[in-house]
Amino acid sequence: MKEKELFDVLENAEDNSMERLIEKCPEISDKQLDRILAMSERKFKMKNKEAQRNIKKTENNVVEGVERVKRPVWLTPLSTAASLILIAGIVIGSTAIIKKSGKKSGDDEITKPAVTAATETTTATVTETVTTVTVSGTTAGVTTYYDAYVTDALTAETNAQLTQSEVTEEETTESASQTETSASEVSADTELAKKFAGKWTYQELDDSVQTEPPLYNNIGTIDINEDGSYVASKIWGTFAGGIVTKGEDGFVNGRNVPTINFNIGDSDDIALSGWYNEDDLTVIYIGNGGSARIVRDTGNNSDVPVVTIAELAGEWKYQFSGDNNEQKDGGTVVIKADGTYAFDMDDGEVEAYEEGTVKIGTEEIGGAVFTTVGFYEGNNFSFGGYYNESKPDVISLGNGDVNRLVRK
Amino acid sequence: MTSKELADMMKSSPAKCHKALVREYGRYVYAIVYNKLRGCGTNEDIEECVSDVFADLFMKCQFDISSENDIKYLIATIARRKAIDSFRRLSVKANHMTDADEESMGELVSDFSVDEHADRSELRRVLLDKIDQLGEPDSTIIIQKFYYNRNSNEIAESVSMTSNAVRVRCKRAMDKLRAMLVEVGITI
Repeated sequence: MKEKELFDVLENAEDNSMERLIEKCPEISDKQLDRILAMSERKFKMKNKEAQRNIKKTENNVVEGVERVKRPVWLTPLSTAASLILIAGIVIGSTAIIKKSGKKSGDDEITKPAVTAATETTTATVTETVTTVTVSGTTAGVTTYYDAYVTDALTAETNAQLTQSEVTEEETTESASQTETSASEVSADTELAKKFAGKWTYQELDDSVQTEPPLYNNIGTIDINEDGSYVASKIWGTFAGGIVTKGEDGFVNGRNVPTINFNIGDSDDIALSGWYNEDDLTVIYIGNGGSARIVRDTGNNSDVPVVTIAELAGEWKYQFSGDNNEQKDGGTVVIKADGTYAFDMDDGEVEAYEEGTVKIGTEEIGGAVFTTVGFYEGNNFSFGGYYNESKPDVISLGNGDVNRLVRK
Repeated sequence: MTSKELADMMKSSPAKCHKALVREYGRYVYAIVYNKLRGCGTNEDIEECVSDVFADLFMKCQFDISSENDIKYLIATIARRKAIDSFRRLSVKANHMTDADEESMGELVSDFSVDEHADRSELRRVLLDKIDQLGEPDSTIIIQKFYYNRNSNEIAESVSMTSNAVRVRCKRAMDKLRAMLVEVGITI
Protein backbone atom coordinates (compact mmCIF):
# COMPACT_ATOMS: atom_id res chain seq x y z
CA MET A 1 0.00 0.00 0.00
CA LYS A 2 2.84 2.30 0.88
CA GLU A 3 4.32 1.73 -2.56
CA LYS A 4 1.06 2.74 -4.22
CA GLU A 5 0.89 5.87 -2.17
CA LEU A 6 4.42 6.71 -3.30
CA PHE A 7 3.34 6.41 -6.91
CA ASP A 8 0.48 8.83 -6.34
CA VAL A 9 3.13 11.50 -6.60
CA LEU A 10 3.29 10.76 -10.31
CA GLU A 11 -0.26 12.10 -10.82
CA ASN A 12 -0.71 15.41 -12.52
CA ALA A 13 2.80 15.26 -13.85
CA GLU A 14 4.43 17.98 -15.89
CA ASP A 15 5.28 17.40 -19.53
CA ASN A 16 8.72 15.83 -19.08
CA SER A 17 7.57 13.30 -16.55
CA MET A 18 4.45 12.74 -18.56
CA GLU A 19 6.44 11.65 -21.59
CA ARG A 20 8.26 9.06 -19.51
CA LEU A 21 5.00 7.75 -18.10
CA ILE A 22 3.43 7.57 -21.55
CA GLU A 23 6.31 5.42 -22.72
CA LYS A 24 5.56 2.89 -20.06
CA CYS A 25 1.80 2.99 -20.50
CA PRO A 26 0.51 -0.51 -21.14
CA GLU A 27 -0.86 -1.27 -24.56
CA ILE A 28 -4.55 -0.76 -24.88
CA SER A 29 -6.39 -3.77 -26.18
CA ASP A 30 -8.13 -3.65 -29.52
CA LYS A 31 -11.39 -4.29 -27.80
CA GLN A 32 -10.91 -1.28 -25.59
CA LEU A 33 -9.84 0.87 -28.53
CA ASP A 34 -12.90 -0.18 -30.51
CA ARG A 35 -15.07 0.72 -27.59
CA ILE A 36 -13.42 4.13 -27.36
CA LEU A 37 -13.75 4.63 -31.10
CA ALA A 38 -17.43 3.75 -31.04
CA MET A 39 -18.08 6.21 -28.22
CA SER A 40 -16.05 8.88 -29.96
CA GLU A 41 -17.93 8.43 -33.23
CA ARG A 42 -21.27 8.64 -31.47
CA LYS A 43 -20.31 11.84 -29.69
CA PHE A 44 -18.77 13.25 -32.84
CA LYS A 45 -21.97 12.64 -34.80
CA MET A 46 -24.05 14.37 -32.17
CA LYS A 47 -21.75 17.35 -32.10
CA ASN A 48 -21.53 17.43 -35.86
CA LYS A 49 -25.29 17.25 -36.26
CA GLU A 50 -25.74 20.13 -33.90
CA ALA A 51 -23.06 22.15 -35.63
CA GLN A 52 -24.45 21.45 -39.08
CA ARG A 53 -27.87 22.51 -37.96
CA ASN A 54 -26.67 25.88 -36.79
CA ILE A 55 -23.49 26.80 -38.48
CA LYS A 56 -22.43 26.52 -42.06
CA LYS A 57 -18.95 26.81 -43.37
CA THR A 58 -18.31 28.81 -46.48
CA GLU A 59 -15.73 28.10 -49.11
CA ASN A 60 -13.40 30.63 -47.59
CA ASN A 61 -13.37 28.65 -44.40
CA VAL A 62 -15.41 31.31 -42.68
CA VAL A 63 -17.93 30.03 -40.23
CA GLU A 64 -21.28 31.75 -40.22
CA GLY A 65 -24.58 31.24 -38.57
CA VAL A 66 -26.14 31.51 -35.25
CA GLU A 67 -25.55 29.08 -32.52
CA ARG A 68 -28.82 27.71 -31.35
CA VAL A 69 -29.27 26.99 -27.75
CA LYS A 70 -31.77 24.41 -26.73
CA ARG A 71 -34.06 25.70 -24.08
CA PRO A 72 -35.85 23.28 -21.83
CA VAL A 73 -39.30 22.46 -23.19
CA TRP A 74 -40.98 23.24 -19.90
CA LEU A 75 -39.47 26.71 -19.74
CA THR A 76 -41.98 28.37 -22.09
CA PRO A 77 -45.19 27.16 -20.41
CA LEU A 78 -43.67 27.79 -17.03
CA SER A 79 -42.70 31.35 -17.86
CA THR A 80 -46.09 31.92 -19.50
CA ALA A 81 -47.87 30.67 -16.42
CA ALA A 82 -45.68 32.80 -14.21
CA SER A 83 -46.42 35.85 -16.35
CA LEU A 84 -50.16 35.18 -16.22
CA ILE A 85 -50.04 34.78 -12.47
CA LEU A 86 -48.11 38.02 -12.20
CA ILE A 87 -50.55 39.89 -14.43
CA ALA A 88 -53.52 38.43 -12.60
CA GLY A 89 -51.94 39.45 -9.32
CA ILE A 90 -51.43 42.99 -10.54
CA VAL A 91 -54.99 43.22 -11.86
CA ILE A 92 -56.53 41.78 -8.71
CA GLY A 93 -54.30 43.88 -6.50
CA SER A 94 -55.09 47.04 -8.43
CA THR A 95 -58.79 46.29 -8.36
CA ALA A 96 -58.66 45.67 -4.64
CA ILE A 97 -56.77 48.90 -4.03
CA ILE A 98 -59.11 50.92 -6.24
CA LYS A 99 -62.09 49.33 -4.58
CA LYS A 100 -60.67 50.01 -1.18
CA SER A 101 -59.76 53.59 -1.91
CA GLY A 102 -63.04 54.14 -3.74
CA LYS A 103 -65.06 52.94 -0.79
CA LYS A 104 -65.28 55.83 1.57
CA SER A 105 -65.72 55.63 5.25
CA GLY A 106 -69.11 56.50 6.65
CA ASP A 107 -68.02 60.05 7.27
CA ASP A 108 -66.76 60.52 3.76
CA GLU A 109 -69.79 58.94 2.32
CA ILE A 110 -72.00 61.42 4.04
CA THR A 111 -69.72 64.35 3.39
CA LYS A 112 -69.87 63.76 -0.32
CA PRO A 113 -73.14 65.15 -1.56
CA ALA A 114 -75.28 62.25 -2.58
CA VAL A 115 -76.86 64.36 -5.27
CA THR A 116 -73.65 64.38 -7.20
CA ALA A 117 -73.25 60.63 -6.91
CA ALA A 118 -76.75 60.05 -8.03
CA THR A 119 -76.33 62.30 -11.00
CA GLU A 120 -73.20 60.52 -12.05
CA THR A 121 -74.77 57.13 -11.80
CA THR A 122 -77.82 58.09 -13.72
CA THR A 123 -75.93 59.85 -16.43
CA ALA A 124 -73.61 56.96 -16.95
CA THR A 125 -76.36 54.43 -17.21
CA VAL A 126 -78.47 56.46 -19.53
CA THR A 127 -75.61 57.23 -21.83
CA GLU A 128 -74.73 53.60 -22.10
CA THR A 129 -78.25 52.59 -22.80
CA VAL A 130 -79.05 55.23 -25.30
CA THR A 131 -76.15 54.23 -27.45
CA THR A 132 -77.58 50.79 -27.95
CA VAL A 133 -81.32 50.87 -27.82
CA THR A 134 -84.28 53.04 -28.29
CA VAL A 135 -87.70 52.57 -26.90
CA SER A 136 -91.14 52.01 -27.98
CA GLY A 137 -93.47 51.50 -25.13
CA THR A 138 -96.98 51.78 -23.98
CA THR A 139 -96.35 54.20 -21.20
CA ALA A 140 -97.57 57.60 -22.11
CA GLY A 141 -94.97 60.25 -21.86
CA VAL A 142 -92.08 57.83 -21.54
CA THR A 143 -89.56 58.83 -24.10
CA THR A 144 -86.40 57.07 -23.09
CA TYR A 145 -85.51 53.52 -22.44
CA TYR A 146 -84.36 54.34 -18.99
CA ASP A 147 -87.62 55.87 -17.95
CA ALA A 148 -89.42 52.92 -19.34
CA TYR A 149 -87.21 50.57 -17.44
CA VAL A 150 -87.54 52.27 -14.13
CA THR A 151 -91.25 52.54 -14.43
CA ASP A 152 -91.53 48.92 -15.35
CA ALA A 153 -89.31 47.76 -12.56
CA LEU A 154 -91.20 49.81 -10.10
CA THR A 155 -94.79 49.19 -10.87
CA ALA A 156 -94.68 46.15 -13.09
CA GLU A 157 -97.43 47.85 -15.03
CA THR A 158 -95.44 49.15 -17.91
CA ASN A 159 -94.60 46.67 -20.55
CA ALA A 160 -92.02 48.66 -22.31
CA GLN A 161 -90.54 46.88 -25.22
CA LEU A 162 -87.26 47.51 -26.80
CA THR A 163 -86.17 47.37 -30.32
CA GLN A 164 -82.69 47.52 -31.56
CA SER A 165 -83.45 50.52 -33.67
CA GLU A 166 -86.37 52.61 -34.61
CA VAL A 167 -86.29 51.20 -38.10
CA THR A 168 -86.54 47.60 -36.91
CA GLU A 169 -88.90 48.46 -34.16
CA GLU A 170 -91.32 45.65 -34.79
CA GLU A 171 -88.78 42.95 -35.32
CA THR A 172 -87.46 42.59 -31.84
CA THR A 173 -89.40 42.82 -28.67
CA GLU A 174 -87.68 42.29 -25.49
CA SER A 175 -88.74 43.36 -22.10
CA ALA A 176 -86.62 45.98 -20.50
CA SER A 177 -86.25 44.05 -17.33
CA GLN A 178 -84.85 41.07 -19.19
CA THR A 179 -82.25 42.96 -21.09
CA GLU A 180 -81.27 45.38 -18.48
CA THR A 181 -78.07 45.49 -16.84
CA SER A 182 -75.67 43.44 -15.07
CA ALA A 183 -76.57 45.10 -11.79
CA SER A 184 -77.71 42.57 -9.25
CA GLU A 185 -81.19 42.78 -7.90
CA VAL A 186 -81.92 43.77 -4.34
CA SER A 187 -85.07 43.61 -2.35
CA ALA A 188 -86.80 46.49 -0.71
CA ASP A 189 -86.62 47.03 3.02
CA THR A 190 -90.28 47.05 3.88
CA GLU A 191 -89.67 47.73 7.58
CA LEU A 192 -87.79 50.83 6.63
CA ALA A 193 -90.41 51.76 4.05
CA LYS A 194 -93.15 51.56 6.63
CA LYS A 195 -91.34 54.10 8.75
CA PHE A 196 -90.96 56.47 5.87
CA ALA A 197 -94.19 55.73 4.00
CA GLY A 198 -95.84 58.87 2.76
CA LYS A 199 -95.30 61.86 0.62
CA TRP A 200 -91.96 63.61 0.72
CA THR A 201 -90.51 66.69 -0.88
CA TYR A 202 -87.00 66.91 -2.17
CA GLN A 203 -85.45 70.31 -1.47
CA GLU A 204 -82.16 71.92 -2.30
CA LEU A 205 -80.54 74.81 -0.47
CA ASP A 206 -80.72 78.17 -2.21
CA ASP A 207 -77.19 79.49 -1.94
CA SER A 208 -78.04 82.78 -3.55
CA VAL A 209 -79.67 84.18 -0.43
CA GLN A 210 -78.47 84.20 3.15
CA THR A 211 -81.42 83.80 5.40
CA GLU A 212 -82.06 82.39 8.80
CA PRO A 213 -83.37 79.80 8.63
CA PRO A 214 -81.86 78.91 5.22
CA LEU A 215 -84.09 78.96 2.21
CA TYR A 216 -84.74 75.66 0.47
CA ASN A 217 -86.29 75.33 -2.95
CA ASN A 218 -88.63 72.47 -3.72
CA ILE A 219 -87.25 70.35 -6.51
CA GLY A 220 -89.60 67.42 -6.68
CA THR A 221 -91.64 64.92 -4.77
CA ILE A 222 -91.10 61.35 -3.69
CA ASP A 223 -93.87 58.97 -2.69
CA ILE A 224 -92.71 56.12 -0.52
CA ASN A 225 -95.01 53.13 -0.28
CA GLU A 226 -95.15 50.67 2.55
CA ASP A 227 -94.20 47.80 0.22
CA GLY A 228 -90.78 49.39 -0.18
CA SER A 229 -91.33 50.97 -3.57
CA TYR A 230 -91.20 54.64 -4.25
CA VAL A 231 -92.06 56.90 -7.14
CA ALA A 232 -90.25 60.13 -7.66
CA SER A 233 -91.05 63.03 -9.87
CA LYS A 234 -88.40 63.76 -12.43
CA ILE A 235 -86.11 65.37 -9.98
CA TRP A 236 -83.07 64.92 -12.15
CA GLY A 237 -84.69 64.54 -15.49
CA THR A 238 -84.63 60.76 -15.63
CA PHE A 239 -84.98 59.61 -12.07
CA ALA A 240 -88.34 57.96 -11.72
CA GLY A 241 -88.45 55.41 -8.95
CA GLY A 242 -87.49 52.10 -7.52
CA ILE A 243 -87.21 50.65 -4.07
CA VAL A 244 -85.88 51.85 -0.77
CA THR A 245 -83.18 49.92 1.04
CA LYS A 246 -81.25 50.36 4.21
CA GLY A 247 -77.77 51.74 3.67
CA GLU A 248 -74.64 51.46 5.69
CA ASP A 249 -74.45 53.67 8.70
CA GLY A 250 -72.97 57.08 8.11
CA PHE A 251 -70.90 59.17 10.47
CA VAL A 252 -72.08 62.71 11.02
CA ASN A 253 -70.96 65.20 13.60
CA GLY A 254 -69.26 62.59 15.69
CA ARG A 255 -71.95 59.99 15.72
CA ASN A 256 -73.24 57.13 13.63
CA VAL A 257 -76.45 57.75 11.81
CA PRO A 258 -78.68 55.37 9.87
CA THR A 259 -79.11 55.90 6.16
CA ILE A 260 -81.75 55.13 3.59
CA ASN A 261 -81.03 54.42 -0.04
CA PHE A 262 -83.28 55.08 -3.00
CA ASN A 263 -82.38 52.37 -5.45
CA ILE A 264 -82.96 52.68 -9.16
CA GLY A 265 -85.57 50.06 -9.91
CA ASP A 266 -84.73 46.89 -8.04
CA SER A 267 -81.08 47.08 -8.94
CA ASP A 268 -78.31 47.84 -6.51
CA ASP A 269 -77.64 51.14 -8.26
CA ILE A 270 -78.41 53.89 -5.83
CA ALA A 271 -79.93 57.12 -7.12
CA LEU A 272 -80.00 58.87 -3.81
CA SER A 273 -78.91 58.22 -0.28
CA GLY A 274 -79.60 60.17 2.84
CA TRP A 275 -79.34 59.92 6.59
CA TYR A 276 -81.88 60.52 9.27
CA ASN A 277 -82.48 60.53 12.98
CA GLU A 278 -84.49 57.75 14.47
CA ASP A 279 -86.08 60.36 16.69
CA ASP A 280 -87.19 62.48 13.83
CA LEU A 281 -88.50 60.70 10.79
CA THR A 282 -89.66 63.85 9.09
CA VAL A 283 -86.41 64.81 7.46
CA ILE A 284 -83.87 62.84 5.42
CA TYR A 285 -80.65 64.74 5.07
CA ILE A 286 -78.70 64.50 1.86
CA GLY A 287 -75.06 64.97 2.76
CA ASN A 288 -74.04 66.69 5.93
CA GLY A 289 -73.66 70.16 4.56
CA GLY A 290 -77.33 70.87 4.47
CA SER A 291 -77.25 71.30 0.70
CA ALA A 292 -80.28 69.10 0.15
CA ARG A 293 -82.87 67.28 2.14
CA ILE A 294 -86.08 65.35 1.80
CA VAL A 295 -88.85 66.43 4.11
CA ARG A 296 -92.02 64.63 4.93
CA ASP A 297 -95.22 66.22 3.78
CA THR A 298 -97.12 66.28 7.04
CA GLY A 299 -100.29 67.57 5.49
CA ASN A 300 -100.28 70.31 8.04
CA ASN A 301 -100.36 73.38 5.93
CA SER A 302 -101.74 75.68 8.49
CA ASP A 303 -99.60 78.41 9.91
CA VAL A 304 -100.66 77.59 13.42
CA PRO A 305 -97.99 76.11 15.66
CA VAL A 306 -98.86 72.78 17.14
CA VAL A 307 -97.63 73.71 20.56
CA THR A 308 -97.89 76.66 22.95
CA ILE A 309 -95.38 78.23 25.31
CA ALA A 310 -97.36 76.94 28.20
CA GLU A 311 -97.07 73.42 26.92
CA LEU A 312 -93.34 73.81 26.55
CA ALA A 313 -92.86 75.28 29.98
CA GLY A 314 -90.59 73.30 32.21
CA GLU A 315 -86.99 72.18 32.50
CA TRP A 316 -85.25 70.90 29.43
CA LYS A 317 -81.95 69.19 29.23
CA TYR A 318 -79.63 70.55 26.55
CA GLN A 319 -77.87 67.67 24.79
CA PHE A 320 -75.21 67.66 22.13
CA SER A 321 -73.27 65.01 20.31
CA GLY A 322 -69.95 64.28 21.91
CA ASP A 323 -67.19 61.95 20.94
CA ASN A 324 -67.95 58.30 20.21
CA ASN A 325 -71.52 59.04 19.29
CA GLU A 326 -72.52 59.84 22.82
CA GLN A 327 -75.15 62.34 23.74
CA LYS A 328 -73.72 64.66 26.33
CA ASP A 329 -75.54 66.99 28.61
CA GLY A 330 -74.60 70.57 28.07
CA GLY A 331 -76.76 72.32 30.61
CA THR A 332 -80.34 73.10 31.44
CA VAL A 333 -82.87 75.31 29.73
CA VAL A 334 -85.82 76.43 31.80
CA ILE A 335 -88.78 77.62 29.74
CA LYS A 336 -91.27 79.60 31.67
CA ALA A 337 -94.90 79.93 30.83
CA ASP A 338 -94.51 83.69 30.48
CA GLY A 339 -92.37 83.20 27.39
CA THR A 340 -88.96 83.67 28.93
CA TYR A 341 -86.21 81.22 29.38
CA ALA A 342 -82.97 80.77 31.30
CA PHE A 343 -80.13 78.73 29.87
CA ASP A 344 -77.53 77.53 32.34
CA MET A 345 -74.86 76.14 30.02
CA ASP A 346 -72.18 73.85 31.38
CA ASP A 347 -70.80 71.32 28.95
CA GLY A 348 -67.59 70.70 30.85
CA GLU A 349 -65.68 73.24 28.83
CA VAL A 350 -67.90 76.26 28.53
CA GLU A 351 -69.94 77.75 31.33
CA ALA A 352 -72.41 80.45 30.48
CA TYR A 353 -75.72 81.76 31.53
CA GLU A 354 -78.27 83.22 29.22
CA GLU A 355 -81.68 84.63 29.55
CA GLY A 356 -84.15 85.71 26.96
CA THR A 357 -87.47 85.06 25.39
CA VAL A 358 -88.94 82.08 23.64
CA LYS A 359 -90.87 82.49 20.43
CA ILE A 360 -92.97 79.88 18.73
CA GLY A 361 -93.61 80.10 15.02
CA THR A 362 -93.98 78.07 11.85
CA GLU A 363 -91.79 77.37 8.88
CA GLU A 364 -92.82 75.92 5.58
CA ILE A 365 -90.54 73.25 4.29
CA GLY A 366 -91.44 71.62 1.02
CA GLY A 367 -95.03 72.55 1.31
CA ALA A 368 -95.21 71.24 4.86
CA VAL A 369 -95.40 73.52 7.85
CA PHE A 370 -93.21 72.86 10.84
CA THR A 371 -93.47 74.40 14.28
CA THR A 372 -90.36 76.29 15.25
CA VAL A 373 -89.12 77.19 18.70
CA GLY A 374 -86.70 80.13 18.80
CA PHE A 375 -84.68 81.35 21.73
CA TYR A 376 -83.81 85.04 21.59
CA GLU A 377 -81.60 87.30 23.63
CA GLY A 378 -83.36 90.54 23.22
CA ASN A 379 -84.00 90.75 19.49
CA ASN A 380 -81.10 88.55 18.59
CA PHE A 381 -81.72 84.96 17.67
CA SER A 382 -79.63 82.75 19.92
CA PHE A 383 -80.64 79.23 19.01
CA GLY A 384 -83.71 77.35 17.98
CA GLY A 385 -85.19 74.24 16.52
CA TYR A 386 -88.22 72.35 15.44
CA TYR A 387 -90.99 70.86 17.49
CA ASN A 388 -92.85 67.81 16.32
CA GLU A 389 -96.02 66.90 18.09
CA SER A 390 -95.22 63.24 17.61
CA LYS A 391 -92.30 63.80 19.95
CA PRO A 392 -93.60 66.24 22.49
CA ASP A 393 -90.58 65.91 24.77
CA VAL A 394 -87.93 66.81 22.22
CA ILE A 395 -87.02 70.05 20.51
CA SER A 396 -84.58 69.34 17.67
CA LEU A 397 -81.96 72.03 17.34
CA GLY A 398 -80.63 72.56 13.86
CA ASN A 399 -80.46 70.08 11.02
CA GLY A 400 -80.11 66.49 11.88
CA ASP A 401 -81.13 66.58 15.50
CA VAL A 402 -77.47 66.71 16.42
CA ASN A 403 -78.29 68.98 19.30
CA ARG A 404 -81.60 68.91 21.06
CA LEU A 405 -83.55 69.80 24.12
CA VAL A 406 -85.06 66.91 26.00
CA ARG A 407 -87.68 67.50 28.61
CA LYS A 408 -86.50 66.56 32.07
CA MET B 1 1.14 10.56 -38.56
CA THR B 2 1.66 14.07 -39.87
CA SER B 3 -1.05 16.62 -40.23
CA LYS B 4 -0.72 16.46 -44.00
CA GLU B 5 -1.28 12.71 -44.00
CA LEU B 6 -4.20 13.17 -41.70
CA ALA B 7 -5.79 15.81 -43.92
CA ASP B 8 -5.41 13.59 -46.97
CA MET B 9 -6.90 10.63 -45.19
CA MET B 10 -9.75 12.77 -43.96
CA LYS B 11 -10.61 13.74 -47.49
CA SER B 12 -10.65 10.15 -48.74
CA SER B 13 -12.43 8.51 -45.80
CA PRO B 14 -13.30 10.22 -42.53
CA ALA B 15 -14.20 6.91 -40.86
CA LYS B 16 -10.84 5.41 -41.66
CA CYS B 17 -9.16 8.56 -40.50
CA HIS B 18 -10.97 8.38 -37.17
CA LYS B 19 -10.01 4.78 -36.70
CA ALA B 20 -6.41 5.52 -37.54
CA LEU B 21 -6.32 8.36 -35.06
CA VAL B 22 -7.64 6.19 -32.27
CA ARG B 23 -5.19 3.41 -33.06
CA GLU B 24 -2.28 5.76 -33.36
CA TYR B 25 -2.95 8.05 -30.41
CA GLY B 26 -5.30 6.04 -28.21
CA ARG B 27 -2.57 4.97 -25.84
CA TYR B 28 -1.10 8.44 -25.80
CA VAL B 29 -4.41 10.09 -24.94
CA TYR B 30 -5.21 7.39 -22.44
CA ALA B 31 -1.93 8.00 -20.60
CA ILE B 32 -2.56 11.76 -20.39
CA VAL B 33 -6.12 11.34 -19.21
CA TYR B 34 -5.14 8.59 -16.81
CA ASN B 35 -2.52 10.84 -15.27
CA LYS B 36 -5.16 13.45 -14.43
CA LEU B 37 -8.04 11.21 -13.43
CA ARG B 38 -6.15 8.41 -11.72
CA GLY B 39 -7.07 9.62 -8.27
CA CYS B 40 -10.71 10.55 -8.81
CA GLY B 41 -12.19 8.54 -11.67
CA THR B 42 -12.96 4.96 -12.51
CA ASN B 43 -11.79 3.17 -15.65
CA GLU B 44 -15.14 4.00 -17.21
CA ASP B 45 -14.67 7.68 -16.43
CA ILE B 46 -11.26 7.59 -18.04
CA GLU B 47 -12.57 5.86 -21.17
CA GLU B 48 -15.42 8.34 -21.34
CA CYS B 49 -12.97 11.20 -21.20
CA VAL B 50 -10.74 9.62 -23.85
CA SER B 51 -13.72 9.30 -26.18
CA ASP B 52 -14.55 12.98 -25.53
CA VAL B 53 -11.04 13.88 -26.58
CA PHE B 54 -11.35 11.99 -29.84
CA ALA B 55 -14.81 13.39 -30.53
CA ASP B 56 -13.36 16.88 -30.25
CA LEU B 57 -10.44 15.88 -32.39
CA PHE B 58 -12.76 14.50 -35.07
CA MET B 59 -14.62 17.79 -35.08
CA LYS B 60 -11.40 19.67 -35.65
CA CYS B 61 -10.38 17.29 -38.39
CA GLN B 62 -13.38 18.40 -40.42
CA PHE B 63 -11.59 21.65 -40.98
CA ASP B 64 -8.26 22.03 -42.66
CA ILE B 65 -5.62 21.08 -40.11
CA SER B 66 -2.78 20.70 -42.56
CA SER B 67 -1.25 23.87 -41.16
CA GLU B 68 -0.77 22.25 -37.77
CA ASN B 69 2.94 21.68 -37.10
CA ASP B 70 2.48 18.56 -35.11
CA ILE B 71 -0.85 16.87 -34.62
CA LYS B 72 0.49 15.27 -31.48
CA TYR B 73 0.66 18.57 -29.67
CA LEU B 74 -2.88 19.35 -30.69
CA ILE B 75 -4.05 16.03 -29.34
CA ALA B 76 -2.08 16.47 -26.13
CA THR B 77 -3.62 19.89 -25.57
CA ILE B 78 -7.15 18.65 -26.17
CA ALA B 79 -6.53 15.65 -23.92
CA ARG B 80 -5.15 17.75 -21.09
CA ARG B 81 -8.06 20.21 -21.22
CA LYS B 82 -10.67 17.54 -21.44
CA ALA B 83 -9.04 15.65 -18.60
CA ILE B 84 -9.03 18.77 -16.43
CA ASP B 85 -12.70 19.35 -17.24
CA SER B 86 -13.50 15.78 -16.27
CA PHE B 87 -11.40 16.07 -13.15
CA ARG B 88 -13.40 19.11 -12.04
CA ARG B 89 -16.70 17.48 -12.85
CA LEU B 90 -15.81 14.28 -11.01
CA SER B 91 -14.38 16.21 -8.08
CA VAL B 92 -17.56 18.23 -7.74
CA LYS B 93 -19.56 15.03 -7.71
CA ALA B 94 -17.39 13.50 -5.04
CA ASN B 95 -17.01 16.65 -3.10
CA HIS B 96 -18.04 18.43 -0.37
CA MET B 97 -20.13 21.28 0.76
CA THR B 98 -18.93 22.69 3.99
CA ASP B 99 -20.34 25.36 6.17
CA ALA B 100 -18.01 28.24 6.72
CA ASP B 101 -18.82 31.02 9.07
CA GLU B 102 -17.30 34.44 8.74
CA GLU B 103 -14.49 33.72 11.16
CA SER B 104 -13.30 30.63 9.43
CA MET B 105 -13.53 32.34 6.05
CA GLY B 106 -10.41 34.27 6.93
CA GLU B 107 -8.58 31.06 7.57
CA LEU B 108 -9.39 29.58 4.22
CA VAL B 109 -6.41 29.71 1.96
CA SER B 110 -5.59 28.29 -1.42
CA ASP B 111 -4.77 24.61 -1.28
CA PHE B 112 -2.01 25.21 -3.79
CA SER B 113 1.30 25.34 -2.01
CA VAL B 114 4.30 26.39 -4.06
CA ASP B 115 6.70 24.60 -1.73
CA GLU B 116 4.75 21.44 -1.78
CA HIS B 117 4.34 21.63 -5.52
CA ALA B 118 8.11 22.03 -5.98
CA ASP B 119 8.78 19.17 -3.59
CA ARG B 120 6.38 16.89 -5.41
CA SER B 121 7.88 17.84 -8.73
CA GLU B 122 11.37 17.04 -7.47
CA LEU B 123 10.23 13.82 -5.86
CA ARG B 124 8.52 12.82 -9.10
CA ARG B 125 11.71 13.48 -11.06
CA VAL B 126 13.86 11.53 -8.61
CA LEU B 127 11.43 8.65 -8.51
CA LEU B 128 11.25 8.38 -12.27
CA ASP B 129 15.04 8.60 -12.48
CA LYS B 130 15.47 5.78 -10.00
CA ILE B 131 12.85 3.71 -11.77
CA ASP B 132 14.70 4.22 -15.04
CA GLN B 133 17.89 3.11 -13.34
CA LEU B 134 16.21 -0.23 -12.62
CA GLY B 135 16.38 -0.92 -16.33
CA GLU B 136 13.95 -2.81 -18.51
CA PRO B 137 11.72 -4.65 -17.99
CA ASP B 138 11.79 -3.86 -14.27
CA SER B 139 10.96 -0.19 -14.75
CA THR B 140 7.98 -1.01 -16.94
CA ILE B 141 6.80 -3.67 -14.51
CA ILE B 142 7.03 -1.26 -11.57
CA ILE B 143 5.23 1.56 -13.37
CA GLN B 144 2.47 -0.67 -14.70
CA LYS B 145 2.07 -2.40 -11.36
CA PHE B 146 1.97 0.57 -9.04
CA TYR B 147 1.07 3.50 -11.26
CA TYR B 148 -1.24 1.95 -13.85
CA ASN B 149 -2.56 -0.59 -11.34
CA ARG B 150 -2.22 -3.55 -13.72
CA ASN B 151 -2.18 -7.05 -12.36
CA SER B 152 0.63 -9.48 -13.00
CA ASN B 153 -1.17 -11.29 -15.81
CA GLU B 154 -1.79 -8.07 -17.75
CA ILE B 155 1.80 -6.96 -17.21
CA ALA B 156 3.06 -10.37 -18.24
CA GLU B 157 1.38 -9.96 -21.61
CA SER B 158 2.90 -6.58 -22.24
CA VAL B 159 6.43 -7.64 -21.28
CA SER B 160 6.18 -11.13 -22.75
CA MET B 161 6.86 -12.94 -19.49
CA THR B 162 4.98 -15.30 -17.27
CA SER B 163 2.93 -13.85 -14.48
CA ASN B 164 5.07 -15.61 -11.87
CA ALA B 165 8.20 -14.14 -13.33
CA VAL B 166 6.55 -10.73 -13.30
CA ARG B 167 5.69 -11.10 -9.61
CA VAL B 168 9.24 -12.13 -8.68
CA ARG B 169 10.84 -9.39 -10.71
CA CYS B 170 8.40 -6.86 -9.33
CA LYS B 171 9.30 -7.76 -5.75
CA ARG B 172 12.99 -7.64 -6.40
CA ALA B 173 12.71 -4.40 -8.35
CA MET B 174 10.72 -2.81 -5.59
CA ASP B 175 13.30 -3.79 -2.98
CA LYS B 176 15.98 -2.38 -5.16
CA LEU B 177 14.07 0.84 -5.76
CA ARG B 178 13.42 1.22 -2.04
CA ALA B 179 17.11 0.93 -1.33
CA MET B 180 17.95 3.46 -4.02
CA LEU B 181 15.42 5.91 -2.64
CA VAL B 182 16.75 5.52 0.88
CA GLU B 183 20.13 6.45 -0.44
CA VAL B 184 18.76 9.79 -1.57
CA GLY B 185 16.85 10.26 1.66
CA ILE B 186 13.41 9.08 0.58
CA THR B 187 11.84 6.40 2.70
CA ILE B 188 8.76 4.45 1.83
